Amino acid sequence: MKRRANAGESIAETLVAVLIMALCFLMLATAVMAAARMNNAIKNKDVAFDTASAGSDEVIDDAYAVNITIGDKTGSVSAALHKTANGYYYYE
Amino acid sequence: MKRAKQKLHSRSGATILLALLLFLVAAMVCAVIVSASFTTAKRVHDDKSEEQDYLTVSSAAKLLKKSLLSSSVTYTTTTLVTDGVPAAPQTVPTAAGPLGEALRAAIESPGAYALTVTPGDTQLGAAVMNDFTVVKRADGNDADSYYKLSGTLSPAGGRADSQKIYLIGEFMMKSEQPTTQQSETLPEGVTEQYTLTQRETLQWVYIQLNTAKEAAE
Repeated sequence: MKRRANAGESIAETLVAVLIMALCFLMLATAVMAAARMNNAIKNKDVAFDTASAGSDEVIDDAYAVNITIGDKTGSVSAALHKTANGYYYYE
Repeated sequence: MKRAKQKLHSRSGATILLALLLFLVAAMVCAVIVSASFTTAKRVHDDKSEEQDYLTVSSAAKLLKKSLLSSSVTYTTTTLVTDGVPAAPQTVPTAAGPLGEALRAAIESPGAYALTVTPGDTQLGAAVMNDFTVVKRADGNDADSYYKLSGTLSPAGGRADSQKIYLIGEFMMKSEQPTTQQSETLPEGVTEQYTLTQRETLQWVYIQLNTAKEAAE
């Protein structure tokens, strides 16, 4: 009986509901745009990471010891430890 | 006018079924948005550790290549020939460079070895190669022996899909022209005595590092 009932809200109430929904969609659109902006920022950071890896980094230890073990034989090699502008480490 | 007034105050509208349907659609949209944002946040976090893993593995791979290229192995075989009769040859191996001894062991017993590149402190993780293999090539000519090596370097304790670098290479044990050296003093009753020396030296043909397995093969 309740399923078939057509009793609802007045047009004024419906209009208010539509307004609230429109506001919600507006906020959603703003959130999507903010997400897109953040994505772009991360992409830029990624590019910056590549650039930082290519050159703008600092050598924090120029006698960094690295051991290479093959089977039961170990050899020690001295390398230079670098830190990139984004806080990543690598040696060469 | 009366009709419009009635319409404005009319309370007939959507049934509860339609309202529930609308609520369901809205809930699904919200769930998708929240799930997408969580996935993105996790991806950003994983990207950071993946990039450090990549640097760890690529550093280890480049250092491994440099160390292999700067290591050498030489076998010097001397045979004392007295009046044309050769004595039993004596072979002395010498290894130089950081991985000279490891290469000598691999030449003498080709096969699979575990390879680990471990930095001296804990700032960077280790890189491992569990499938480092040295195989003696069957088609080498009589004088020179060819060896192929291959393996996959990945971060120690890394995920299955983490960054990998594939290493392939080949070196040969090149035989030099034998040299002879006459003995300065001859034992009694001996008319001729000399030492025949033959050297076999490791020479690299190539070493390649690739990020794609297909390229390495």
